[in-house]
Amino acid sequence: MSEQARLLGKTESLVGVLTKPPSGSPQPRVGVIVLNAGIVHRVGPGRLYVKLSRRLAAQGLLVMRYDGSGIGDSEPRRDNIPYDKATIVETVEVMNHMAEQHGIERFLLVGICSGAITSFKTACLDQRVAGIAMMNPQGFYDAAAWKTHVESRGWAQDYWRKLINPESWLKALTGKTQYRRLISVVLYRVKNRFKKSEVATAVADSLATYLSGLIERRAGILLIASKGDSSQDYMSVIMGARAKTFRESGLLEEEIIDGADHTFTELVHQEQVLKLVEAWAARTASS
Amino acid sequence: MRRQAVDTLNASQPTGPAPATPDPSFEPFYFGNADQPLYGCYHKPITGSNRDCVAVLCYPIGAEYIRSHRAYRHLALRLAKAGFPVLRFDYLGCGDASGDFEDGNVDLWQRGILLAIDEASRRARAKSICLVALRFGATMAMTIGARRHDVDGLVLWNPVVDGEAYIKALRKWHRDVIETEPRKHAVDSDHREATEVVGYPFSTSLIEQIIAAEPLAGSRPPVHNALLLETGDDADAARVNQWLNQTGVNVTHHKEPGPQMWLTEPYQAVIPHETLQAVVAWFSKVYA
Repeated sequence: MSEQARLLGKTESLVGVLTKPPSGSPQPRVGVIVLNAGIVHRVGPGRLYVKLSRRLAAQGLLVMRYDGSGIGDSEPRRDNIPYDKATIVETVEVMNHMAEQHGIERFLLVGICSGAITSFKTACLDQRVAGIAMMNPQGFYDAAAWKTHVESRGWAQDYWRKLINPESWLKALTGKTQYRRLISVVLYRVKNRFKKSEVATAVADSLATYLSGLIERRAGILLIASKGDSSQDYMSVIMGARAKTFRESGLLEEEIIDGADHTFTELVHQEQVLKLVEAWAARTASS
Repeated sequence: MRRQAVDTLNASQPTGPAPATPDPSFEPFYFGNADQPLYGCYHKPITGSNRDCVAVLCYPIGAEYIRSHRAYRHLALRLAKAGFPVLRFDYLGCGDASGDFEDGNVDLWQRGILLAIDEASRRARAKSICLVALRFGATMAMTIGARRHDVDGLVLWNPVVDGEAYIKALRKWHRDVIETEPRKHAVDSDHREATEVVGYPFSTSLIEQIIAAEPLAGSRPPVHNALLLETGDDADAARVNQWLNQTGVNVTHHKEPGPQMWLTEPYQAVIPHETLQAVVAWFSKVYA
């Protein structure tokens, strides 16, 4: 297995590290691209992306972890393409590089948080993406009404569960509850009880349609969420009434990691993530 | 009710004008031993007046590395803009270098600094070499500075000189990051035992090496010139300042209130502009 530094993109200003399978391995036809988690550079939180790249390469996959523009070692863009579009444009450029230089025909995209969002959006727009592994994806669309709707719904469900938990009452009585958040959730739910947010409905419909499109074209989807992470709320709202259909397709795999934080900081949780993605990638690449 | 349509992928947005031509002012590459390559990023000087000193940037270790990466890149760009060639690199088992963190130890990491110095000298062909180092990177840089006569300057940023206190602080940091609820146990484990620190495994032997490090040993000056950076309150800064003065180093001490960005969550990352400016100003004055 070897690693090589690369300058990528139309302006050759994006820095990536290509991890190749061990010498003597068959020519890979499937490439993996690992996408930045927020502004953490391409090694990933706790060096998780380095470990993942090496494990996937050991399976015979060609893996590129790279820094999007303005992140890590990569230069900022010098045009006026907004961030959420640039991430997709750049991922496609990296795919083109791997296709032209290494004959890669199909891609798996992997990412935590914003990296998961980029993998989803790129997959929706580029048919070469055969699968996506999304870890704790949050947001999906930049609209305050959408985020408020999802997160308030999540908090409301959280508080409902805590209503029946005696420890929660003790917290409330001893001033340890986040009163401001609780009040805003209650007010939001009362205000919207008889009126579904139009924006939220439209966003959820749009995203569910795109998700449906991925499943229809047989793209594999691995969703890993830390227990309690708001990504579970986002996916729940997006999938909505179609959740059962998505799950029965056999293409959507969901895993919850108990006790993990948003970026899987602890080594025990990193190892769980690595095993899940390794196994999923092996299945999806060979299908 | 007509359903509102939302373009959640922004697919209809134009891609904008053609991008600018490539700017090869920096180069990422692997160097060192073929079986244990290290990752480096070399920044060529951008201005016409190339200074005769190359900066080798030595990162801190573990999770502090991830949190300081952004500031380090900004520093490299500023130094390059001021005319100084710069090499940033990753130690064995860290960042993009080969190996796992468990494979690393202080001896191997110091050897990495030596390899980086050789690589930087080869590329820059500068008369002077200056190591810029943060936290335990600074601890190792002080040792290297004392050994290598071609290292003329040190920038020491909150250097670790009390290994035991550092290990205890790392353990506390891990507990603060990981434990959202305080645990009921009050007994602290033996601080020399192997431990995990915010996603990085610190073996018993690594901990022992860190505790055994004595960067302030010796009475000979490690280098001619030093800039001591203190961000926030640092109990070790006064000791380091005193020792540098006593050994005859030409030392400048610069203090900023903080935050200590190597401990800050990445999504709250702050570029310490004043500190970076102080580094560039010092370089420009000492290596005019």
